[in-house]
Amino acid sequence: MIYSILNHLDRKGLIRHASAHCDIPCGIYDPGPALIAAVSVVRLMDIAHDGASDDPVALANLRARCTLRKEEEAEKVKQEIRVIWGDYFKAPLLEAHPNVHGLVHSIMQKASACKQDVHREDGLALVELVNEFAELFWKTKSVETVRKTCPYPPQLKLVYPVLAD
Amino acid sequence: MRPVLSPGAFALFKRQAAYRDGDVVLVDHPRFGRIVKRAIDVTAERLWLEGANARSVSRESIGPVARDHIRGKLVYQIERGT
Repeated sequence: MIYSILNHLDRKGLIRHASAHCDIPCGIYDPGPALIAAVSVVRLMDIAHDGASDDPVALANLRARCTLRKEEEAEKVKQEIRVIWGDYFKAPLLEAHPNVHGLVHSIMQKASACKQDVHREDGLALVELVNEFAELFWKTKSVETVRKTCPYPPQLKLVYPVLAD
Repeated sequence: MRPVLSPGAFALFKRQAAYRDGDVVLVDHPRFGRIVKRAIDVTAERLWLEGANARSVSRESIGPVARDHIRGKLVYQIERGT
């Protein structure tokens, strides 16, 4: 009864709202998998371009595999980023970081461009966008980040969290 | 803030001259907006905030909050079905 009365007043906009949300059910979010997938896109482009073989069938097979895996890795980037954006970022974080929407949209667009073609500059741009997203994500956790060259081809600069222990 | 506050609950907050550790407070947070959290490590100038749930955003993420951002202490609540 009392709740119903208050609910009625609330619907009339007479009661101010406050957020008391907790984190999501599992609470485990990390942009790392998205970064690895983005780097994989560049690597697969490189292999597709540089792959050589005297056997034209073997070369066609190599490029077909690269294309297939590139498609999958680019889609993984989109999926990983969508989940963090959609599940982890809630109203207070979105208000504090309004640029996240534009950044996520850019990642979606660039990942699609990487699927459509084999332009290395698109792959590099995708890595950079996901790096920016990773920096933003860790900032919301008050965790410092550093850009280091990943210890595997194509040896691009990636964002890593600087963890206390 | 489960189990202290249920989603959709109506809560009454009262401004206090002083706040103590463990008080559930309404805060106008500069980053997170209007939020409800538990006060901890309260000093004359500032306090820290934490959720009641183990999965809450960490106190480090919320950061220290100046006393003048506190709007009141939870004194009464009405949950859905009351």
